[in-house]
Amino acid sequence: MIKLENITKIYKTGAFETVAVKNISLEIKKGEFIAIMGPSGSGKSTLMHILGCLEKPTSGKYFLENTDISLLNDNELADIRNKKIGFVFQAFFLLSRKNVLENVILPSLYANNYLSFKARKEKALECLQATAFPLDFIYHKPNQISGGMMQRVAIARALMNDPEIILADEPTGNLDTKTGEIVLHTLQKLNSEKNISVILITHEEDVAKHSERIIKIKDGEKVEDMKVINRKQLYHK
Amino acid sequence: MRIKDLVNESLDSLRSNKLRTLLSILGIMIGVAAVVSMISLGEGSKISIQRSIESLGSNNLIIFPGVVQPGRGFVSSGRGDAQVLKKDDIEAIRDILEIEAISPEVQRRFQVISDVGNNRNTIILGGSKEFFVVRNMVIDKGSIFNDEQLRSYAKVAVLGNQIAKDLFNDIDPIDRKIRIRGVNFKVIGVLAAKGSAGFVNYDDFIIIPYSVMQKQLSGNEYFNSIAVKVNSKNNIDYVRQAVTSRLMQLHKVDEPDFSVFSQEDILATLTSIINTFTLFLSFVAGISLIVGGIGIMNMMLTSVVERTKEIGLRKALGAKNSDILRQIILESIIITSFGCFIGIILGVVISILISRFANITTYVSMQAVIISIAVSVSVGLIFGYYPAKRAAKLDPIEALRYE
Ligand SMILES: Nc1ncnc2c1ncn2[C@@H]1O[C@H](COP(=O)(O)OP(=O)(O)O)[C@@H](O)[C@H]1O
Ligand SMILES: [Mg+2]
Repeated sequence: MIKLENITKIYKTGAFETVAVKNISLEIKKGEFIAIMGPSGSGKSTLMHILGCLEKPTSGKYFLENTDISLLNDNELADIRNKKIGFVFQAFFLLSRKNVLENVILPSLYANNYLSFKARKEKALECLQATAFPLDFIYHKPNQISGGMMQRVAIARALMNDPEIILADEPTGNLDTKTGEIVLHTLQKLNSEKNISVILITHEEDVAKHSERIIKIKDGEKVEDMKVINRKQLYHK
Repeated sequence: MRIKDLVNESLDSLRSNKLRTLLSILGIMIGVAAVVSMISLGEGSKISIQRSIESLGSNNLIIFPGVVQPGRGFVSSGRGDAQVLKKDDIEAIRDILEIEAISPEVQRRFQVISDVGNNRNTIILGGSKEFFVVRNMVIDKGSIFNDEQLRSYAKVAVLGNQIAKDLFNDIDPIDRKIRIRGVNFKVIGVLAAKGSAGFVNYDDFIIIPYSVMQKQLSGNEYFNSIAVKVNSKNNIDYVRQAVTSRLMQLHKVDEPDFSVFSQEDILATLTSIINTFTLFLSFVAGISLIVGGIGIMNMMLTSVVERTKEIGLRKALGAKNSDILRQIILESIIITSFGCFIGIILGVVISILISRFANITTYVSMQAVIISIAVSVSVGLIFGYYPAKRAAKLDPIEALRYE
């Protein structure tokens, strides 16, 4: 479903050039759960932004469901992000003035299929339930709930438009181990039950072990691509 | 994005910083209120001047001594300076058939004391009985003076409605005495109220025979003006020519040393003065709208910077540049619309207060309201566009990395 061919991303800051991603080729199949692992500054987030159509590579080709992303304009990219991709960030990125329900509904405002308010609410509740978010808290503001709950809201938001892929950038980075585990199990469950591809970005081996396949990168280069043996999981396909 | 969602999102973010939103609304509100009240002041003055000039009699021509210099207009003419209009001038045009009545007029301001002891400074107008015909003056009590009284220098006076009350309170002024510059006059009549209009209050003056005026008060044989009532509107131009040629002949001059104005000339001149004045006032008021707009732009720019991350997030979730652009512009337009709405109400209230307490006619025209709406929505668009463009151009990655 995803095919990267010799992707390179170079940032220019004045006279400086930073090669964030270097010549990476990669294929990810529909329904796969992969981890991109590497130390801080190795180019993981940059790669995720390219995969998420937030950024175009300096060179190389990116095919998403056989569409050449480099040929699309800003509006078409926005549509792809809206329909096919769900983002989960380390810092959650929930809007503090909106309550849980409104935060989950947000991506549907930018969707082309105009749902009624009622349909949106039902869909949002369904997504929250899929992440096992306690529904008593749906009218709370993000600052009134715990970090683990916030990340579940963020995952529910990523599910709102039925994405093909969830891109999670260090989703457990701001959480304690136990809460992080719950979030990872939630992603596994969505992966196995809804057949959503998950791309998990992390610098921790332990976290990466929750995936089926680990791609290790270092200084922007792919150094290893391996299957996970002894995968940590609660849910089985 | 649906309009309803767009409006909701805009309102939501405006609500999240209520104080800032309110202050921006306030800026626009003051601007709009100023524009609305200034325009209604101008419109009101125009209406009241029109009304008063019409009430002074239609189909009138007025002859002033002196010539109006081109470009300086009638108001700035040296009226009263040049001394050319005399009794002979009346006789010279008396036999023009199309003239119904001729009213020679001499005006001065004097201190007047009534026999009940009240003291007022007012306009004393020396005229003939035809003054009342030409100027559409209706008698309320008593009578006007006749030609016999004019010839015999009778010291009689007819009071305007307001000055009668000022000089005599509630006492009936008929047959009582007033004293002007040491000369006693007997009050023989009081005029019906005409109302004040524009710059002049037509109830605050006293009419006496011009013969007495010239002999005892003004001290010369000249008139300030001669008003002529023409029998029909169609004959105004003809009479104007006839009067001009006869008076030139009488004065033995090649170029007129006097000016002849019609009611319409005066109305047009005054209206154009008021238009200029209104335009100037509205322009000054309009500047405050621009200042309000700059306030909005400032506020929106700050708010865009503060929301950098939010905008990045929205883009990551699928918002198009145009969605962001439209939301920010809409926020700006919502502010100006609210400000405009409250400003119009405030402007109307101010106009009402001006006319009530300053006794100046105001008129809130639909035009003023439409102009304010148009201007403030444009202000919202123009000053919201730049911040919106900046927000729309934000790179989602930069925005998301911004911590
Ligand atoms: N917008 C940018 N401009 C310049 N350099 C950047 C930019 N974004 C990332 N980088 C650089 O690219 C490299 C990879 O960054 P990143 O993808 O964030 O790594 P990771 O997520 O693995 O920590 C880093 O050296 C970083 O400083
Ligand atoms: Mg990173």
